[in-house]
Amino acid sequence: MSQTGTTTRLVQAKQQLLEPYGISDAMLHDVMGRVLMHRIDYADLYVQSLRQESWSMENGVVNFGSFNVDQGFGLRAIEHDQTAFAYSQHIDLKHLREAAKSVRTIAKQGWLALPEPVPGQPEAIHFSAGDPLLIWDSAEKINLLEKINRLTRALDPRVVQVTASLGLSHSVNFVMRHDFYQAADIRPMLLLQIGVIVEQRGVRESASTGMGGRGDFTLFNDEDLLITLRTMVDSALINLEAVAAPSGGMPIVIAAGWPGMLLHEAMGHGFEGDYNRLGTSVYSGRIGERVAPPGVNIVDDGTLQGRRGSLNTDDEGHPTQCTTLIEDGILQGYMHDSLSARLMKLPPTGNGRRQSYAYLPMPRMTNTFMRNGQYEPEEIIASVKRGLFLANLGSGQVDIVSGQYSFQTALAYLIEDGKITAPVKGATLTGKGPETLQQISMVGNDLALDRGIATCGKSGQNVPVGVGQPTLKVDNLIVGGTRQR
Amino acid sequence: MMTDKQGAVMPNTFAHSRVQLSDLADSVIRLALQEGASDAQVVFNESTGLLIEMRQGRLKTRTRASQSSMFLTVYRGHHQGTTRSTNYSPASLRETVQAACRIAGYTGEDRFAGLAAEHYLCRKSDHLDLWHPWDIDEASAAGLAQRIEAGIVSAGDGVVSDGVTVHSGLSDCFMMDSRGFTCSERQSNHLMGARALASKQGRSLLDFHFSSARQAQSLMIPEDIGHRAGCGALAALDTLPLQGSRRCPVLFDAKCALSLLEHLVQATSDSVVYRRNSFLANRLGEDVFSHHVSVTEDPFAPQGLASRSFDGDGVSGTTRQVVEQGALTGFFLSAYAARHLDRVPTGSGWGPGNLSLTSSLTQKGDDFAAMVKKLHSGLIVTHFSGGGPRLINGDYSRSLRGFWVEEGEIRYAVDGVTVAGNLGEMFRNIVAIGSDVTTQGALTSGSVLIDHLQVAGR
Repeated sequence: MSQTGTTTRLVQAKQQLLEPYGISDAMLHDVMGRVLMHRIDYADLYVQSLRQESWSMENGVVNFGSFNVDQGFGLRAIEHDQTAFAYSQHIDLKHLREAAKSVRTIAKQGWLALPEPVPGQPEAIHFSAGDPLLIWDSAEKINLLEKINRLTRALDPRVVQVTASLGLSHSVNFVMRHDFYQAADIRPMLLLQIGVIVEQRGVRESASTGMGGRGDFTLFNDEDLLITLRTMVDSALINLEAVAAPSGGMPIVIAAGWPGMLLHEAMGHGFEGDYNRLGTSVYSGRIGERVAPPGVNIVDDGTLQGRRGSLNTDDEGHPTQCTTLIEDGILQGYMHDSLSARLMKLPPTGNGRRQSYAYLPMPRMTNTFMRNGQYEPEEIIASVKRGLFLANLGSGQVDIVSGQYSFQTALAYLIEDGKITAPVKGATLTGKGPETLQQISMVGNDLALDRGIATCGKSGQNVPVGVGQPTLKVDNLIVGGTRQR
Repeated sequence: MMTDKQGAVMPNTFAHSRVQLSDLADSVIRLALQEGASDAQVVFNESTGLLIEMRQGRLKTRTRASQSSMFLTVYRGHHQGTTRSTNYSPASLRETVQAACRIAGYTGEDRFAGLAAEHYLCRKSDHLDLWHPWDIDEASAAGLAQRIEAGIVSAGDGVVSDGVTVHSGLSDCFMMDSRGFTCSERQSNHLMGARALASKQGRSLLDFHFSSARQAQSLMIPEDIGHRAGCGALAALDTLPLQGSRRCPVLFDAKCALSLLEHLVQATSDSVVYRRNSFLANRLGEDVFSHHVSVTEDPFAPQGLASRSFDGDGVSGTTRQVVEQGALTGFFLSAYAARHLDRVPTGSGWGPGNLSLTSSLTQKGDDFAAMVKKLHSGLIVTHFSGGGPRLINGDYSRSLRGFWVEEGEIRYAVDGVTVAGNLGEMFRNIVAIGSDVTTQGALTSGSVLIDHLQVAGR
């Protein structure tokens, strides 16, 4: 089954990316042969076609629609740790040969390249190859957005504005290494983004939400859609009543699901192979050490069925896997692309990802989350005398070198004497990743993943990811509110 | 034996010439009209570039870029559809046009959709002195990168390069619509940047500095770029924890002060205004800053980093005051947003023109040191690490690093600190703007002193 899936993807990718332009295997070998006239350690050719469609609705009218076609190839050659890269939107022998001539000069002339181990193949297919652009007629896509407008407005008379957009994409990619190993992946993506403004006695508040993944339109079934919309409207209404957030350090309880973004920032990036190869990560050289209390388990898993961060093979042709980052508080390993794996003499982990053919691969996360602990969420909240409960977060950032990370609250409440009380206004929270990890004092038993809306940015490249966690308690984070305590 | 010339000169030619783009545009517009469009506009973008990234003497990456893309908008009356494509084969162009027209058959009626009125359109382009190709080969670019790295190391012991960048880029934009309007603009953009890593006793800190310009000769000296980054990392390496939470004055250094201009633009641009999703949406003509503060926009400054003859609607901006003696006098509006608000488009569809934040109180001697004296006791912000304003109500909360000041003297560096307030109040509470002016992209400002924000540490 898996072998069939792998073979089918490769055949399909070649049919779509190479055959229309008359590019045969012999020509690919000719191009790679030209790269290998120099003392290259590693080289690969990546060919991609991306089709995207989007529709957006404002106040009941779907007034904007777009269609985007982007295709091209990227060719890179690596000499030890030095990379030369060229890309083009013209998939033909002339441009491929020009690129080969340009990138090989990263090394001196001569023959060096050795075959790399041939990666195994994914044991299962992690999402269907179905093209979401073709599954539904445009009229049905418009109906979905119009329905969202109706449903949201029906939830509360204070809703004054609803915006929604539906983005669909289908990416086909093919990669061939210097040792002629070939792989392909075919990746669908759906993303629904929704925003609401509520107004009460002249005061306006907003909230936003989304849903998505590598699946089909059953993702947006009525039941899940309604829960998502209700949570969003409630969040905006609650924020109408919000009081000033406190300022300074305090214990924080972070809800399950999307707030796992905190892990992504506070530790995930620090576990990426490139920073650790260069020794710049605050977690560099600490494998085998205790970085968190016992009971903390964090993994990066690209094999989850239909998730936004899932891949069959990464952008270097390695199958994705479930990589244990922290096991029972001990740092187990980093996430690698082929470059960091080769230079650190470690096996690749299927984390080599790129935004498109026009960018170089880097070690990137897939779906990163903390596994369940033993506490009931209510127990965790009850344990806090004075602190903050983060029900929902906005976006986050991290400085890899210092480990200092930040994120914004989207919905937060005071905890007073073990009880959730008043909602507080949006605030930025900040901490140092390694300290935060050590300060995780309770882990809940309610693991949830996000709704499939996360995008991670690194060195100017955006890739879709997944995040998740159970409810957890961090003993001290700095809250940037306006209220003096 | 065949040899490759090491470091061939970067080609200054785009994949498509102006004549080719004009012919392509003409055929796309004609196709769109045949396919049922009542109006159409097409924009072609070409770009080429060379990018060198070096780290500690090793060439981390060397990238040759060359890109072409087409962006098409078609209208069927007040219904619109858009497409973007990078494939210019006749068959693919036809499909792209058909897709746009099909989309316009599905989208609902939007009376604000349509081409910009003729009298707003750009009359003169390619005249802002934006085109200065830099014939730099790979070896020379690597040589400059080495000089930046030398500057980093010269900052002091324990400072190394975490990566330096030399980039030279060219772009061309050609626009045509179905009413016979065309305009075009060629631009060059060059950049050198440094990331410096300072380490001592297991602590590490990163700082960066960069210089960008239309003309290579206008870039900062490579060693100086590296040195600035290196000194920045070293100065902030020894941090002390800031204890507790307090209200105090805050000085944004010039780089950080640019964020205030950025937030002003965010809060007064396009959809947030017509959707009233901004605390400034209803404030046109009202005092939103203290009276000594003004903001000017000049989209036509020669060689300006945000100079442009036209935006995505083909509309030219104007040299204007956006804030005049504290009063908000203008929004940033595309043709579409302007119709929503029954106002004039401001040529801002691709962002603001060169913007400058100024104060009538600023004296020549108000350099950074003088501003620190004015701060007297409080916080200097040198880097924001996260957060921002909520535009809908101006609530402001950010995390940062900087320095703690007492009696007009910098006492120690701080990290992991937050500031919080309300952007509307912050604009009104600007006490002074320094003469230590810096420019990044579209934004120019000196350091900004704000009276009283909530500052929290551990």
